[in-house]
Amino acid sequence: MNQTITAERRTIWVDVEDFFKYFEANPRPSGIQRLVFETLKVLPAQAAAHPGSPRIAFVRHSADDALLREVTFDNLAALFDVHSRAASVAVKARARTKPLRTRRPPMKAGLRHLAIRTIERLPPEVADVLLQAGVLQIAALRQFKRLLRRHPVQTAESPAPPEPVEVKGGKVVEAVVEAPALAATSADLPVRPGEPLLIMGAPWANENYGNRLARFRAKYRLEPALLLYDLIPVRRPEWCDARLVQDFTDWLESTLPQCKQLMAISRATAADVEAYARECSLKLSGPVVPVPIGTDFGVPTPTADAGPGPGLPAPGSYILFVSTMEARKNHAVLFRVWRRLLSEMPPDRVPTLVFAGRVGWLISDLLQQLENTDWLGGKVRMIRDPTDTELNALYDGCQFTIFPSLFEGWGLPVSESLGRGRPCLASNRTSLPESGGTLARYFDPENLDDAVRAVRDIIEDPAGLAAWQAQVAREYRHVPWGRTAEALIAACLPDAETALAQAAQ
Amino acid sequence: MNAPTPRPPTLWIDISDIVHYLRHHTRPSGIQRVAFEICRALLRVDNGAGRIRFTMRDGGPRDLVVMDWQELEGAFSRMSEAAAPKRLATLRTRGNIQVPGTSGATVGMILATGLTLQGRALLQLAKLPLALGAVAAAAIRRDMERRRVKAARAAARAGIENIATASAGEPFESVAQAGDWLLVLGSPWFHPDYVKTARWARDELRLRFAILMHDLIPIRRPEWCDRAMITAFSDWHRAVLPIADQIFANSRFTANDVTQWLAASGSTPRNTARPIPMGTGLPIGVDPASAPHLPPAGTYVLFVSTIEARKNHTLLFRVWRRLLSDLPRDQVPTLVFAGNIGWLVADLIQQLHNAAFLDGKIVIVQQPSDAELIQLYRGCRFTVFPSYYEGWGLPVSESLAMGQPCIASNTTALPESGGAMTRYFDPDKFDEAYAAIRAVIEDPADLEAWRAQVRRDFRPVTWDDSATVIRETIDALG
Repeated sequence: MNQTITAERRTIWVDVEDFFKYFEANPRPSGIQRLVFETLKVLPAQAAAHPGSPRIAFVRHSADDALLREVTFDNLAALFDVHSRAASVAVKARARTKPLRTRRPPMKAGLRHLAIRTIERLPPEVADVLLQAGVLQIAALRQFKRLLRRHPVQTAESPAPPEPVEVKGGKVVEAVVEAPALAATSADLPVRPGEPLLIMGAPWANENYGNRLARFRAKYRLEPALLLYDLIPVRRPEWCDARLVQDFTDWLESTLPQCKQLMAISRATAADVEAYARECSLKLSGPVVPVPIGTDFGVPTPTADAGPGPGLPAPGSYILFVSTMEARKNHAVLFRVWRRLLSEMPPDRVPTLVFAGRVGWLISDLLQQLENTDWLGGKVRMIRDPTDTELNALYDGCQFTIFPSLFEGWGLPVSESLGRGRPCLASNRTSLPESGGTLARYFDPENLDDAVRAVRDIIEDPAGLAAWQAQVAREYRHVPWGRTAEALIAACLPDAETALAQAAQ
Repeated sequence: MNAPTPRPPTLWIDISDIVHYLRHHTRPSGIQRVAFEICRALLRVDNGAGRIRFTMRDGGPRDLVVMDWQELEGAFSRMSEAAAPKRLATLRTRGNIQVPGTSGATVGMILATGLTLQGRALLQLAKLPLALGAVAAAAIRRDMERRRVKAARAAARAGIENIATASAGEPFESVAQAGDWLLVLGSPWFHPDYVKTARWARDELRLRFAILMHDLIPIRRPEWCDRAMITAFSDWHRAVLPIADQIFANSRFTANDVTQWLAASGSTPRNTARPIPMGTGLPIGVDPASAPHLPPAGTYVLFVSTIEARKNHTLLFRVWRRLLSDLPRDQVPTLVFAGNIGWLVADLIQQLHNAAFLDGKIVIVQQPSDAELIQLYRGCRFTVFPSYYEGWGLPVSESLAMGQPCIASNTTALPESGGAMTRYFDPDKFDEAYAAIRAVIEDPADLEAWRAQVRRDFRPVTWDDSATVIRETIDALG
């Protein structure tokens, strides 16, 4: 990366702290980490092509959360690589019954959880008193700890030397990718006032994130620019873990006021964030900018020998729903649709419904209901934890996919289905019409008649389905990640855009 | 069979399930309460003619004994009164603890903040003795209540044992005569071989056999039932229904449902399944004592039902979420779920907790007593009943009988239960349910007119009407 700073050249500082933090606690990247990584891969090149060719610099937070330090893209890539590979190794390891060690959460957090769980078993009146006292005590200790830390950090000439990243001959070495090197001493970070700090990950798990931003703004005069995925924990807390709701709400309330620029992964999320800001009487400095999201995750092309796969339903005999099973995804409505189909049509003309994914939360009552009907006599099947190979085979063999979710920030399974040449019948809620565009078809996920009609229309018209399939295969175009990067840069440097526009005139 | 004097046929009602229920449960369920009311009404309609008598199976398929009604009635009412203690679902709110801002803080500020927090932590801890005291007091209260219920239940149970022994020694077959009827009103499914009893009564004692059907839910919608219940229920009815001389049903819907199911399994009822009118409600005995823990009158909408998947509480949860996003909060009434927490709703209850019961806009009144139920009905703006599937739908007619309008699901038997005075929506269409409920909330004048109409025009059906149809049907068959 070019380190020269010319008078005109600006830097976009990209906060990747949460990316590193995430992998301290999780063995596999989630959708957000994949999205971030794909974008970061092309961000520098995209920046180079941008007017003024801004520099892209990746930064982490110092140990006391007060300073920023630069890391290289290679640090990041090595980390992602190890964990993506760990994921695929884990799959193979399972086959060989050789478990891969996963990193356990830090002992301190474990102790805290144990204490909270113990207290929560007490009578509510007592538990409330103890919990509140505990929370206050921890907060007090945190303040005292800051007090002790303050001195040494300020006098430190330079931070600890970087530890080399060790990936020995492709062999996965657990927990070797630690906090990487600092390219510059923290206090000397060559920031010019007003430069953007791009935040595009999932930093709500980081404590006091809003406070950190306030400090970075005060110290470096950085202007945070934040990418938002969805507001589900605030809008539909019923579907989320209570801890996530609390963390996310606190994060949102403390972070939004610090941000100069807000971006969202869909127009639906952008509108939702604007509505939320109005509800909180929070004045945004400008509209929330929707950013096009890349759709190509480099799906492995099916291998030549790919048959249906052992234990999978016969190709052409089923309709596929790829998703973690959780209440928000609305598997319940498909159960009711299939019950209705089976009562209205000869059973041999009703295709099998395949749920492919992990079993998530708030779904045990639905699973019991499926169990009680013997999975509608076998017309509903669950392929639990499919491997990549199985998933490819399932996509290839399905008549079409279906996605009845009640609330999404984007709707990756819809664009993924289209990207693989499979038509998708999707819910018409939130961002899904953006994800599916004109090639997907839609239904109201809270109207059984509409859902039944939509499914029947397709399964009773095989010629129409074939034409639709051909159309999807012919017309669907992946959104390249470069467009995501380009939109982010444009949103971060709006004045450069204006300059460009003026130059064009 | 010794038949000394020919007499008009006696109607023997098998009350095994009522006794069974009293022995094994804290409170009678809906089916037993309906069966109990019909028994009482049959006696009233019989008017002392002695043609209504009671029996129960106590052992093998042929071990039927004659039962004394008075004692059972006493035990039943005692049991109904000895309801388990109930409580309001408590909403625990944890106050947000504000950690003072820390950006750019000086040593002094941090120290001050730390000390303040430390002080508050200690203050909080000082509340512990008070909390412990409250817990201890509550535990003592609970223990006393438990003892009271236990004593009442023991008394009721002793009553049951007494009637059973008092009547023993009078075997059914020595009293019953050819041409009499054996009638099952409830749900004696805990005798899996009940078909042997029915066949013995019919073929050996030359009785006729009749049964009142409440629904076919475990067969039609097994997803909402207990796994053991599905098999037991299906097997029982597959065996018993084909040998019935007369099938009664609690609605035209159930009558059709049963007829269709029998036809699909290759059997035709001997006589057309006969719907009987259902009494509009179960007697709610106690005079309402004001219960201050219930929401104030006029501030809430009521849903009386066990909380279980089939009753579709989920839909109302979503409707209320939408109401709260579309209307000012103070214009959205509270939604009260009154009933026991049943099965297949653990995920729903968790969702309600996750959403903090929509910050208190949803309230669960668990195991409401009669007094609480009356107060809830009297104080509600209107009632809602979004169930997916009902054999009849007692809460709908009960609401009308209490003078309160009801917005109900339009499926299965509910339009029969609600009649022309109820408004309906499709429980599988969110938008329709939302529109129906919101329209009523937003038009108080219309709601009052509707309420006045219900109070003026609603004609309650008595349980005597139910009994009369049973009697007439049976008498017509000779």
